[in-house]
Amino acid sequence: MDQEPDSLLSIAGAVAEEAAVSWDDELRLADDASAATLRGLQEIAQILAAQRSLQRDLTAPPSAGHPEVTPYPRRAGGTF
Amino acid sequence: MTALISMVKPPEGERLSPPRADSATRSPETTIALVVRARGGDRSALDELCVRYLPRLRRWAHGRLPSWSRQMIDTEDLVQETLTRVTARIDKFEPRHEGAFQGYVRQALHRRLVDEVNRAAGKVAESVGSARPSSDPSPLEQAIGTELLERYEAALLRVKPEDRDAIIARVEMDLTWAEVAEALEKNSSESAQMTVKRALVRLAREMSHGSRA
Repeated sequence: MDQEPDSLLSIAGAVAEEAAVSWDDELRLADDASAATLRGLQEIAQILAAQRSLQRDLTAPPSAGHPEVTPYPRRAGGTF
Repeated sequence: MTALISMVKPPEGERLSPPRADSATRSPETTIALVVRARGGDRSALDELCVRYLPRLRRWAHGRLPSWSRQMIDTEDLVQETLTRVTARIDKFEPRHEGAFQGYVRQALHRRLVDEVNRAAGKVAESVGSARPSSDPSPLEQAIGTELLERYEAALLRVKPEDRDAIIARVEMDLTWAEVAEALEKNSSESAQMTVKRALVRLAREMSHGSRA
């Protein structure tokens, strides 16, 4: 079984739950080895949030036109 | 369209169920059992697989088509046709666990989306005598960027199939933890959570490799 750092597993859990993550703080505290993976998790969180937004529009009451999704700032940092 | 499609298509104007309301993993008969029956030519098993997976795959595909292609490609038809094709060739599918079929169909649907968008682009270019109208991305690409989405898809192909199934079940198909546990054949929701967390960390690492490339 691969061993992943607890800190990364904890953040991955937050991503899977769509919970807020203070990416700037996490990146500041991360060592070099973890920082790249953290950025990957941040990107996955962005994809997940955008996908959920589109799916919510699909299940919302009908409205005119195709749903618009507000683009997320890429690697903007801060609480996501 | 076949009888199978007419069976699974919702009545005109009917709205989709909320994301977690369908019961792909709660029915008494397991997906694997259905796949085994379907392999044997049981049409009702194929129909049941479509009924289980159509709503969530439709939600997944929503927003992945560029606006310019929506006049030519219908998301619902695309999902239904992909499900029909996959179930018709179901003998190629090796069920690792309950959630494997979902991941298998999702990958097939992704390939089909790419093919259909390319085909539609060719038709548009032919009709107007210009290059492919690719400057208008899908809503999902608009939200997160084409490069990021491509890197995610590439990384998803590089992780282990078990990790991919876990990520698809939770992150893409929005299953509850109990449903993920059932899909991945884990003993508990906690075990399913740990599996998804590890899978996400490995996917994130793969994405960061893709970023450097």
